[in-house]
Amino acid sequence: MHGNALVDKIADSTPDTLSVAATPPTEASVRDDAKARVPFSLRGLGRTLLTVLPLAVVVFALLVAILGPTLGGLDPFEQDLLQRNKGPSAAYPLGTDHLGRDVLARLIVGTRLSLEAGLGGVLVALSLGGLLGFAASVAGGAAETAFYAFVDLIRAMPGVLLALLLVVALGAGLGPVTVALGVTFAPIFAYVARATYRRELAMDYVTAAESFGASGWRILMTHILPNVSGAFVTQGAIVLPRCIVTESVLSFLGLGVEPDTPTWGRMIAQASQFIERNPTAVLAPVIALSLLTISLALLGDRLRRRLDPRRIDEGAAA
Amino acid sequence: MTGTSDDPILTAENLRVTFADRDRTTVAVDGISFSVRRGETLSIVGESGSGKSVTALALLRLVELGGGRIETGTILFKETPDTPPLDLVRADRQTLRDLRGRAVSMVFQEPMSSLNPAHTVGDQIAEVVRKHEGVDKAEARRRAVALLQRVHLPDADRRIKSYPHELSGGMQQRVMIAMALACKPALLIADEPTTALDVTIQAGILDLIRDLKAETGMSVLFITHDMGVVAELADRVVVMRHGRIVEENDVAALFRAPQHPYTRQLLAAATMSGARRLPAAVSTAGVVEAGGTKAPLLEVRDLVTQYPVKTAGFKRAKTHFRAVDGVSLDIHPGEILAIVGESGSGKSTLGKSILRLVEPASGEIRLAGTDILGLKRPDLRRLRRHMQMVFQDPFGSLNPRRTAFSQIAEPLVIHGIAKGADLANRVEGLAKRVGIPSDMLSRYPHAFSGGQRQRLCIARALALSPKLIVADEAVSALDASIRAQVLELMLELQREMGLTYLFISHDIGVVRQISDRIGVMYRGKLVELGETEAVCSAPADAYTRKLLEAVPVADPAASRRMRRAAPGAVGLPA
Amino acid sequence: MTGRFVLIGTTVLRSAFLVLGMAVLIFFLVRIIPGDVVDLVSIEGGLTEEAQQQLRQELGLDRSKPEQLLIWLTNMAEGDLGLSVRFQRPVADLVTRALPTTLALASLSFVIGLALAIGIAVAAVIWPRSAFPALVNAVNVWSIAMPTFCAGILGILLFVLWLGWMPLLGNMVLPSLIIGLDVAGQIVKPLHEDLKEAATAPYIRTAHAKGLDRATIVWRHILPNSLSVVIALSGLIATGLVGGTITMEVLFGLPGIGKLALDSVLGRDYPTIQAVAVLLAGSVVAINAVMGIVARLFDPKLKT
Repeated sequence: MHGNALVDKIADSTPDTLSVAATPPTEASVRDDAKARVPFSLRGLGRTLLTVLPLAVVVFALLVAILGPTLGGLDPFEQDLLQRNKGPSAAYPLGTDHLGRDVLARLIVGTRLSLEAGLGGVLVALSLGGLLGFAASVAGGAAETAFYAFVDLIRAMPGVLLALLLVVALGAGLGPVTVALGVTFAPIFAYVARATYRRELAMDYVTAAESFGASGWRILMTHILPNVSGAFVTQGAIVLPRCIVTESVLSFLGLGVEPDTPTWGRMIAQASQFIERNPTAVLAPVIALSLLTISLALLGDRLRRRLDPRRIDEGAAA
Repeated sequence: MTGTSDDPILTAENLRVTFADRDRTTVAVDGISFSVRRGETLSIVGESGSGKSVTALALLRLVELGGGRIETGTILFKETPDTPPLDLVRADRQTLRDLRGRAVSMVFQEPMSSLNPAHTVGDQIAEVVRKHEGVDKAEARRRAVALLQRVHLPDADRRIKSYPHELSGGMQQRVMIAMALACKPALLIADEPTTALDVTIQAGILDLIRDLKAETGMSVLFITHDMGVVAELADRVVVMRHGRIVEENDVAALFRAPQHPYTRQLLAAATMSGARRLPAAVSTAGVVEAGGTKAPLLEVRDLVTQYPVKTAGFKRAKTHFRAVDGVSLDIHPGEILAIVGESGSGKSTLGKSILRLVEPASGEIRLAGTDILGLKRPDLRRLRRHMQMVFQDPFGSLNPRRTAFSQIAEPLVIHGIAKGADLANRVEGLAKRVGIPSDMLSRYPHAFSGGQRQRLCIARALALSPKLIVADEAVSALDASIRAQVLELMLELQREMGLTYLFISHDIGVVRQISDRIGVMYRGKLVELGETEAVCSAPADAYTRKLLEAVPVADPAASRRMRRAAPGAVGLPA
Repeated sequence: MTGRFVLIGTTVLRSAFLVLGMAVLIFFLVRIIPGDVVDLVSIEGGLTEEAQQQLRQELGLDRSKPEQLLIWLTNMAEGDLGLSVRFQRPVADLVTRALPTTLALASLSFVIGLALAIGIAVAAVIWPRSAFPALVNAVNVWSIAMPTFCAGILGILLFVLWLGWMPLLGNMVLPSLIIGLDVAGQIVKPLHEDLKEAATAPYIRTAHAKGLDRATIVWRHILPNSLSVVIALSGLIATGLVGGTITMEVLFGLPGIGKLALDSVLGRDYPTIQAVAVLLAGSVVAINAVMGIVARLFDPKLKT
C-alpha cells in the first residue's frame, strides 16, 4: 500500500503538510544521518519509557500474582470489626474495607484473579475461535458458511450483555467466568483465522508449493501457519486487557466469581458504597486495575506495530 | 513537431532531494541539472531507483508530501518567454498553489488511484477550472465536457457523471490528461503515464499526448523506463541512474551513438527484439522441425476454464466468465512456446490450468501422453515434478519466513529425493547454477534483490528436473537490464538441460527474442499460433497486428516513420 | 433504483434473521440454568406442589423447550414481552418506563463520542506534528484499559464529592461524557489510521497537483472516503453504548434498560432477562443495519 514510514514524517516547514507517499526513497545512495546518531532525543526517550514502564508494571503484577499469596501474614478474609473503613495505617498500609478487612491483602489476591481470568479468557478465545475458525476455513463450503454465520451472531451481541448471560447460564466461579470471557472474545480470533488463511492461500508461494506437489497438510503446516501466528499473538495481546476489563465489569455488577472472592471489580463495587468516608478502599483497586490494563494495552499496541503485516519482510528474519 | 527554441521554460540547477527515515537519510536525487526547452518534449529515462519520478515530483515540490526534502538547488520556471524566472524551491505556498494545475500540470502512473473514487470525473475536472479561473458551476461543467471530447473520450457529456471505477484504465488516464490540460498549462509533467496500461492502450495515450502537444505548443517532461516510448515521443533525452544524470542528448543522437556504457546497456536491452536472435532459440529450431516426427510433450485440446461471476440481488443467476475459452495447442520437447496477450486475455489462467492449479471445466491436457485432467490428487502430485512454474512476483512467490535454502530444498524434501548432505549438495549446486552464492542460502528472501529472488524461484523450479517449465510473466517485474540477465540464464538452462518452456508474457518484444513459436491470446481464445518470425513479420490476425503495431520501437527514426504511415490511429477500447 | 431497493431489502432480511438467531440463542442460554422461575418463586413464597404445577401450566413451562420457544417468539412478535415474575407486571410496562432514560443517555453519549472521535482524528491528520496524534493514542488506550465504571468512580470522586459541581443521582452529563469518551476511544484510532491512509492516496497527490488548498483537500477529498470507516465501526459504537449504559445506569442510579437488565439477571427474573436481552441485542443490529444502508447509499460504487 501507499502508507509507509515516510508518511509519518510530514514536515510542518513544508508548504502542504498533508502526507502523500511520493515515490519512496530509492536504493540510490544511503548514508547515515549525522543527526540520528545523537544518542539523546526526547522523542526516543518517550518511546522507550512507553515500553519500559508498562513492561515494569506487568512484570510487577505477575510477581505479585505468583508470589503475593505465599508471603503470609496477610489474610484477605480476616475481619477486624473494630477497624472498619479506616484509612492507611502502619498495620493496614492501604486501610481496611467496610468489614475491617485488609485492603492490601485483598488487592494482592485480586491481582492473581484478574490475571488468571484474563489470560484464561484469551486462551479459551484463541483456541475456540482460532482453531475452529481455521478448521472451518480449511473445510470450506457449507461448514465454513454455517460456522461463520454463528460467529457473526455472537459477534453482533453486545459483549457485556453476552458475558452477563453466559455467566448467568454457566454459574458463578472462576472457571465459568473464564469460559464466558472466552466465548465472548472468540469471534475476533475466528475472523483473524479466516482473514489470514485466505490471505495466505492467495500468495504465490502457496501456489508454488502446490505446483511442486506439496500436500494440503504440508502447505498448512509449513507455509500458512508460520505466517499467521504473528497475527494471533498480536490479537491476543490486544484482547488481554479487554478480557481483564470485562471480568472486572462482571464482578462489579455482582456476577462472576463467588460473592466473597476479593476480585478488583467486587472490591470496587463494595467500597464504592462508602466512597465518601473511605476513598482509599475504592481508589486502590481502581488504580491497580487501570494501571495493569493500560500497561497491557500499551504493550499490545507496541507489539501490533512490531508485527504489522505490512512490515512482514523486516519482521521475518528477526 | 513544433520547433524548439533555446529558451528554457524550466531549469533545474544542482537539484538534490533526500528522504529522511528514522535513522538514515536516503539521497534520491543527487545534484542534477537539466532544462526543459520551450515547446520540446524532454524525456527522463531510467530504471527503478534512478530517481526519475522523485525528480518529477520535486519540480512542483510535491515530493515534500511524501517526506522528501529538496536540500539544495534551484528550479527556475518561466511561464512565458517574457515573465521573470521564478524559483520554485523558494516560492511560497500561495504561489505554488496558483501554479499547480494551471501553468504546470501533472499526469501520474496509476490512473485508477490518482482519481478520487468519491467524486465523478466531471466534478474532478471542473474543480481545477473553478479553482484557477473562478468560473461558475455551469461553465465549469461545459468546459469539462469539452475537455473530455478533446481527449477523445466517447460520450463525453454522459461520461462526466461517471465515477472513476466505471471507466477502463485507458479512459481514466484520458480523464487525468483532460484534468491536466484544463487550464492550458505551459508545461505538462507526465510521470510514467502509460506504464500501468496495456500496450494497445498505451499507444492511444502516447498518440494523444503527442497530438495535444502539437496543438497547444506546450512543453512536455515525460518520465519513463521504456526506451521504446522515449523513441516514439521525445525530442531530447536525459538518462538517469542512481540519482544522477549519466547522459543527456538529442534523441536521434542518443540512439545512434550512446556515449555512456549504461545508456548502451539500456538500449541493448530494449533493441534486442527482432534485431538479435539469441543463439539458444536458433539452436532449438532444429528440434521444432523434427517435431513433426516426435510426439509432442504437452497436448492441450479445447481447454475451457471458467470462473463463476457473482451477481447482486436475490436471484443468483449462475453465470460464468470463460477465462480460457477453447484453447488447443501442442508443445514439443525442447521448444519455447510463448503465449502473448494483454491483461484479461486469459494467458495466466491458461498456464495455471495446464498445471491444474486451477481446475479446468472441460477439455484435455496430456503430458507425454498422460491425461492430466483424469488424475487423482496423489497421482497429480507425483506428476507435478515434471511440470514446474515460475511466477511473476518475485516477492510474493517466496515464503518470507523460510530461508533461501529451505525454499529450494522443499520440492526435494517433499518428493523424498534427497536428504542430509546430499540435499545440501544438491541445493548448493542449484543455487550456484542460477548464480546465487551458497553463503547467501541461510538468508531470508527479503535480503535478496528482485532479480536474485527470481533466480531462487528458478532454482526451486529446477530442483525436480522438470521437463516443462511454465514461466508466467517471469521477467515482467524486473528492470530491463536485470531482465536481460535472467532471460539469458533461462535460455542457458534450457540448452543445458533440454527444458521445454511455456513462456507467458504481455511483452511481445521480450517474447520475440527468445521463443520458437508464439501464440496470441485475446479474450480467452488463442487467435493466432505460429513460428515466431512468421507471426511477427506477417501476422494473420487483426488483433495480432494491432498488438505488434502498438509496441514502441526503440528506434526514433523507425517509430516516426511508422507513425507517419498510419496517421490518427487512435486505438480506443471497445 | 432497483439496486437500492434490493440493498435495503437484503439488509432488513439479514438483520431480521440475525435478531431471530439471537433470540433463540438467548432463550437457550437462559434455560441452561437448572431450575425454573417457579422453583425460584417457591423458595421465597413456599408454594405447595400443586400450586407449583398450576403455575407451571399457566406459564407454559410444562411444555417442551421448542414449543416454549415458539410460543415466546410468537408472543414477542405480537408485542407481548411476557410477565415479570419479580415485579408481577408485564415486561413491556417495565421497558416502556425505562426506555426514555436509556435513549437519552445513549443518544447523548453517541453524539459526544462521534464528535470527539471525528474532531480529534481530523485534527491529528491536519496537524500531524501537534499533540493530536498522541491524543488519538491516549484516548484509544483509555477506552481499552479504563473500564467505564472505574472512570465513573473517579468522576464521582472528583466532580461530585470533591469539587461538588454536580449531583450524584439522576446525573446525565457525567455518565454520557464517560460513555462518549469510551466510544470515541474505540473508533478514533481506526478512523485516524484510515484518514492517514487516505491522505497518502495518489488521488490526494493529484489534488495537490491541481493547486487546491488544504481545507478543500481535507473536506472534499479525504473525509468523504473515510466516512465508510465510521459506518463500518458502527457495530463497535453500538455495543460500546450498550455496555456503557448498563454500568453507568447502575453506578449513577439511573432507572434505564441497563439497570432493568441487571436487576432481572440478579433476581433471576427470566422472562425479563430474555425480553431485555433481545431488545438490547436487537437495537445493536438495528443501528448496524441503518448505518450500513446509509453507507451504501453514499457509496459511488452503488450509485449507478
